[in-house]
Amino acid sequence: MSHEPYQILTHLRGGATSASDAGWPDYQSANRSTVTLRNVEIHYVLMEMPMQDALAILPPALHPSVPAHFTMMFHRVPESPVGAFQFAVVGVGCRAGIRPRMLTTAAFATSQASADFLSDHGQFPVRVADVMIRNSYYGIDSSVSTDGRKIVDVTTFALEPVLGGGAAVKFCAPLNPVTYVGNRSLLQVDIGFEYHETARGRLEVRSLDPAVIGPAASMPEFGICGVRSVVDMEFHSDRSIYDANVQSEEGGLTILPDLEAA
Amino acid sequence: MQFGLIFELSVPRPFSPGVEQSVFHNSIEQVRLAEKLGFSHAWCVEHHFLEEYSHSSCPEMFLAACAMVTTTMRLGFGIATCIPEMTHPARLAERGAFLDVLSNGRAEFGTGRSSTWTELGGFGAAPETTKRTWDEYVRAIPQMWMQDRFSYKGQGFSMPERAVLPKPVQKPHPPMWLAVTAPGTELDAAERGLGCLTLSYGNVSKNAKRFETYRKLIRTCEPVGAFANEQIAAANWLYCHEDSRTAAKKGEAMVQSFSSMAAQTLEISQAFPSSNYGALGLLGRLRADPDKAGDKALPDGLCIGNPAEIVNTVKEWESAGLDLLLFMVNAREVVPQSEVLASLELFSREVMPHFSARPSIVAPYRERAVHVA
Repeated sequence: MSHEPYQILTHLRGGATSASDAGWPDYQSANRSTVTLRNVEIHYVLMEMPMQDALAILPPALHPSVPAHFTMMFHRVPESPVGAFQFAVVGVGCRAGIRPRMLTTAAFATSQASADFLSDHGQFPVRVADVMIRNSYYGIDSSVSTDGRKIVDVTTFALEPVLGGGAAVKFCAPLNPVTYVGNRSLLQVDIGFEYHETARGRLEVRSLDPAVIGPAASMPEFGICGVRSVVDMEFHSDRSIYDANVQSEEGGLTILPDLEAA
Repeated sequence: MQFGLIFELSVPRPFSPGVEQSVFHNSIEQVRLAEKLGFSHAWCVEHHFLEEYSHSSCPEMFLAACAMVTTTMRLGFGIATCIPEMTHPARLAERGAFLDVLSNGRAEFGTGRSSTWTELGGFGAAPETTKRTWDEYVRAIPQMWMQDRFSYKGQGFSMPERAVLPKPVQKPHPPMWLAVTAPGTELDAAERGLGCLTLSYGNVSKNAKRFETYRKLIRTCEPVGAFANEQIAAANWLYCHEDSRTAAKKGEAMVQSFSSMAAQTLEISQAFPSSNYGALGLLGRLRADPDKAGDKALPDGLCIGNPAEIVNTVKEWESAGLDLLLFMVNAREVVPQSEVLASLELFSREVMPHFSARPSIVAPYRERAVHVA
């Protein structure tokens, strides 16, 4: 056998190294205070994806979940410092060491002000787009359109309430690409959730441009489920940054100074 | 107190030729030695698609091999996954009985329902129905063993009258167990007269309360089989070495290796919000959040240390009411086989005598079991 005795880390890890500099903006420590968005309606969509696609997208610091999957989170925010808006975040499910995380691959918001808000609270790589979340008698519909083209259009139907501990959906913390002290890095966005209601249903994907997942990603074929939740979202100040090329167990995690106290 | 081994058959990458053979045959060698050393049980789990973490997709085949190199060890088939999309209950009854025949009446039968999307999703199973179908399975399987012919009409499965064969050697049937992880599952075990096999790895005081609850409730149970199997077993880790620091270093490497693999799977509670998977599922302890300060250290109650330290730990479990400790002795081969065997030998030599000169090995289950008239 060729393995190293006492090894802890797996050999299965992402290998993406070719992202353009444009995708890794300098880290701006603008997020210095906690902001709460109340009664946010979330449409959470999970789908499996080919492992090879995940490995091509994830940087070496991150391990794909088994099976590989990606998530789309659509949000309808009724009230915020920049008014009502809707936004969507797409990401690949992954692990930083043993921490469940999501590498953000695309984000969309309905106005420049809301895009700026999300940039200030986690440096989401946001594009202004037409994001829609609508409830109907049969479920919840969400879509993203850019330049008049619908790039994501998904429905969760046959919703069933989820009770007890299961209602506290384990949304993974997003990791957003930034450049930090000259290194390609991943800023973790810490969001606390208070759950008001949760329901789970079956997915129908009417359209999905795989480019939102990654430039060479193939069309996912297997849905996992869709979830509708109403939550309060508490965006905390920036806390941690991962070196994109170094696993956290090997020293790739940097805990930031307490920005709120600074 | 009795001692046994439990196997996940975790395999390190890269999956080069021979690596799975090495893990499987190392494990069989551990079983062969363990019986000689006085260990009374060998269990093997059922898992599917769990890369590195567990390649144990056909545990009864592993246990059949163990049966051929042992004569007295009890052989635990499980946790057998009671999900229609994975296995028809008649197939589980057949496989359990087959092992019992091959081993001359040494089979134990553990039941569960899986807690990962990795497994359930791979078979297209519906997570929201797993508890219901598990409940049907554990009631049907002992009837399949005891009745000449069996027929059934239910929600999770139905079948016309058939003879489910072979019949087990143990009469009326092998002892049955339930994997207990999420809080409250011990109640499910007790209500049905099933043995309580906890997979929470450590945390003596937390488990002691659950054991007490189980003991109280099972006294008024309605067994799903012919008898109540009032026993409590707990999975644990074993690395025994004369030097405490060496034991801690290697034991921790072993636990962390396995934990890191457990964390890569996609839990139901993460992927498929559901009312019947509210708490952390399988091996929740191994999926602890490292960002929570209280979750960072290894839990108490692990059998990692020098013999004196492990004696103290086992005594704590004994005081908590445990009947059987089932040890994981390696993970992804992070500990060389020679050191695993040395750890078993040292445990047998220095720890076991504090609890029993030599355990009777084959527990007289039906004598201990609470027969319900």
